[in-house]
Amino acid sequence: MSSNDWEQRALAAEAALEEARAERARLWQELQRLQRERQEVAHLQGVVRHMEGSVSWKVTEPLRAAKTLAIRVRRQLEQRQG
Amino acid sequence: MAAAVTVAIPTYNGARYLDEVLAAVRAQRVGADVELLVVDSGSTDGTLEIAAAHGARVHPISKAEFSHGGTRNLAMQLAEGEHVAFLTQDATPAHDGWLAAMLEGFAAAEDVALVFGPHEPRPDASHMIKCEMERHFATWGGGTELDVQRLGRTAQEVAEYRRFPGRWTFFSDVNGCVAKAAWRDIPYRPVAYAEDQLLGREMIEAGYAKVFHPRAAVIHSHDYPPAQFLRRYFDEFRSLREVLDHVEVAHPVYTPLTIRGLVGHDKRWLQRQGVQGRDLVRPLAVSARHHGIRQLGAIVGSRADRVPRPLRRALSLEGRDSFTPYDVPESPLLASTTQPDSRPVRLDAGWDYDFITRAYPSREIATVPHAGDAGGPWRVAWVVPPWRIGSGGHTTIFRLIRQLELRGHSNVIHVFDPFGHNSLPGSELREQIREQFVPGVEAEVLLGVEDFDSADVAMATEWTTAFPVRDLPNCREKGYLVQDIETEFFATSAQRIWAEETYRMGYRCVAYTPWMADILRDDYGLESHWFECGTDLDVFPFAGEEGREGEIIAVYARRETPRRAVDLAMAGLAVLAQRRPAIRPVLFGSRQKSVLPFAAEDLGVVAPRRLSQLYRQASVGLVFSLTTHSLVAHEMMASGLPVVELEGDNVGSALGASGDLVALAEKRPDDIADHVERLLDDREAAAAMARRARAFVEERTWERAGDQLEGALREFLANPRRRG
Repeated sequence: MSSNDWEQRALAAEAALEEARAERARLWQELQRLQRERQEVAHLQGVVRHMEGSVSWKVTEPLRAAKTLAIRVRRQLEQRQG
Repeated sequence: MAAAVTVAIPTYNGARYLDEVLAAVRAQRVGADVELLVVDSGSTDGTLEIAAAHGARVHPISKAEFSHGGTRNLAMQLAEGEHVAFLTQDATPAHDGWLAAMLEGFAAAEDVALVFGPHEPRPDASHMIKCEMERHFATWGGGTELDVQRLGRTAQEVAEYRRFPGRWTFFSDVNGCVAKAAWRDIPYRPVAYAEDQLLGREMIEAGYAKVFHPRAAVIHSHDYPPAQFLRRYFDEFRSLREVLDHVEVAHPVYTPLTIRGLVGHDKRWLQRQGVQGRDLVRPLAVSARHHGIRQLGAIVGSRADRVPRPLRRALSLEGRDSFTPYDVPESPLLASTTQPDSRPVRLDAGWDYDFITRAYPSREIATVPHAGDAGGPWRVAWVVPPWRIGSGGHTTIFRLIRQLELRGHSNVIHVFDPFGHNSLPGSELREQIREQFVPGVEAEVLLGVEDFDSADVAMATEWTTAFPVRDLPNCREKGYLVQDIETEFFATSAQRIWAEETYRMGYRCVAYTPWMADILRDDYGLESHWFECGTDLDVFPFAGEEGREGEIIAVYARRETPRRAVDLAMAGLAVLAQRRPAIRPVLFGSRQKSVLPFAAEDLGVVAPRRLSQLYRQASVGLVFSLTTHSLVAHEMMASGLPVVELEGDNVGSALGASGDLVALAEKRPDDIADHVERLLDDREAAAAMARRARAFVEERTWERAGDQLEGALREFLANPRRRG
């Protein structure tokens, strides 16, 4: 095998290594994004838990239930008319 | 031969279920001798005959002798077994593995004093009772797993116990087994009711373990008409008040919400059983009545001390009119004070310096071995403390991160916040960096280091962050970006010791200025590279003499940081004001108010563009730093404002000691006044110095700083640490 062949192979290997490193860095960045989004979900779940656990949320529950019921009734009436 | 285990049942006219109960006990498949003990308090309905028919050892007592705690103590004394499983006369073991499961519970740990199992409702029980039992026993191991309860000693565990003790203390001798060894230490107490709850509490608070075994199930439930339920709940909650000091919440909002919540549980339970739509209306109305009665009984019962005796008797299902609180001695495990005249310190698991206690004993920096491959792109993890908008140190960090990104490297920022300063999620912090600090930064921002995965290089950026970074796994190298000698931030204190400790951890450092790199190398023996910050020339454009107002002096007066020697600057200005009463110092950089003996004005903390305006208008700038050289001086220099600084190695290293670029005053008020006055008087020399300073700043770009940092990191990666 000529020294030229070795050089070619070395260059190819280096290029492949560089590509692999770049891919690893890209995947790592993707992992960080997913970790951040996971933290985001946990944070938002905490916010929802806190909100739904509040007295104001519970006290106004009948209003929301009434609204849901009103929407349902209206839809049913619309369906009957339609 | 003595029995290994005793099944003990106190009875009184219990013929209705007793035959079924004893037959189920006799059918138990357990690899030990079982003694069946019945303590009867004067039954007249055939109970004794049923017991005898099942070969039980019957111990009769008079009705007057009976008490829940006392009778069970008697049973414990009479029992031959080292474990005594208690049943009531209407609690039937659900299968033949009940007793074996009870004994298995004791094998879960060496310190188990009590084992209890779930109650399965009888088929005719109401849906409220069935739902309540299912939910209640799901508290332990989800109702399906073996669950060991023990009083933990950490702050968090103690706080949890205080918040919801029932999770630990609940024990029912309707279906519970007691280890005699533990009972000798803590027997049943002579209380009228809830003796089992008291035993559970005392055992747990004495440090014993308690076990819930899901297979140790019995069939047992009570159903009463509404009025009797009210009286039963009155009894139960009076006893809980007597022995556990539990007081049920009575509140115009919370109480209806509690009832609504309980009805909601029933609704979901019924729906799981296939009850839907209009069929739910009637059972839920019954539920609402039941839970309303329950809460009423609970509220009145737990306040029985305020109820007149005749009414107590009328409300009690057992006809008891007394209220006798049982004073449980405070557990040494829970004792909040030992001194009669002391106050307990608030217990909080989230102690600020927990990260310090976890950092010892000292460990070497954790890195993975590598061959010295410095090829990129690298993955760089930065651990930073929380920031305030305008923080100079963070601006530098984010600019350096941006420089690495522009060179193709991937970065992530972990915000290490042991003091709980940050309340924003990572996405908002990321936006803040891009909008308020350095546009274009792509790095994700994660809270804490718990989600850390791996990195080619992990960088500590401040003394607190050096502790967690030291132990991060899967890193080829660990670096420390040192922008200042942080030990100097603290007086003689624990924080000073800890800050200094970080310089002994063996980090490879990248220091701001050669001066700081020398200190780290000479004083602490650390490998140390350096970088020099750039200046944002777009924000701080050069302005010549034109437009400058003769007596305006821009003064960096950040009182929050003592190293800025603000009072020394003020002393110099006070001397100057005596000589030149017309000077108009304009202070900036602090939220604190100043009281001064000369006329001055205070901008407070303002945006860089406002400062730039001031720098173009003033005739002299005054910036002091007793540690690292301040970037504020660079910004003034970029703006063409002649600067007076304090002489010292820190400034000399950054700007040279000749005084060509800035005027260097000795640390004396009169010398400071002299230097400012000279610049005010000799505008030609001042302007020449300002031009040289501008040229100096122009050479120091952020690109250059990025090259210096990248060079340092390449050096780290190309030359792995020597091991062993």
